[in-house]
Amino acid sequence: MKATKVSNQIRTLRFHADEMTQQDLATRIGVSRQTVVAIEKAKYSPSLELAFKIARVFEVPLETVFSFEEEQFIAK
Amino acid sequence: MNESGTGADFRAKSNLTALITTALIYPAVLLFSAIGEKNIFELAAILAVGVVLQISIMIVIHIFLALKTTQEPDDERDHDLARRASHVSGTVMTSSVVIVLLIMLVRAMIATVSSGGETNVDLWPLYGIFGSLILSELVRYTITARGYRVD
Repeated sequence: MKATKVSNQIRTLRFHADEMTQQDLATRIGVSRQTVVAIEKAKYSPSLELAFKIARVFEVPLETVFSFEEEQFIAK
Repeated sequence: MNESGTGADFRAKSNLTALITTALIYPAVLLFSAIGEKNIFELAAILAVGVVLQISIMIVIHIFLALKTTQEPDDERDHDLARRASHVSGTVMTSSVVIVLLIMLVRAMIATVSSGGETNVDLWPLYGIFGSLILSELVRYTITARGYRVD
């Protein structure tokens, strides 16, 4: 599966959150660990609802967790 | 951290088992059915053996997987994967059916011409397949129309 255009800081945020495991995060947002792995590797873009859940776990704004490259955003 | 032992791993391995058993058993069933002259009961028996064999293998492997992995409920990624797979397989299925329909139609035409204009071919499978295609297209357009109005 090819990588999505949305990058994320989940791995870093997990590390700063007492080295939260992927399984812990998966349990808290109600998905499987493989889904967390896929999101972390930017191989799967989560729904907006799931993205908000992830941001809420780390108590940060959505933009801190996910970002979208500017040049990809500007229409040609 | 490796990815083994998760619920999604169970589903991934379950799907892989289905893929491998289907790829091995049903082409063999098709080949065995097509070789030599067989009556309808023999064909049904061959198909039944194939189905029972696959179900048996799937049950054994699923018991093994259930013991080795933990199971979690489906999440949105599972649904997304299933939706994409269904879309592609639906397209393949429709294309295959259209090809078979056209071949049957041409064969029926040839049979009619060679019998001097008299149609002796049983056409109900053609009507059945054509009806199924119409139904599936109606369902597709209805769901799309409903989606645009409601979602």
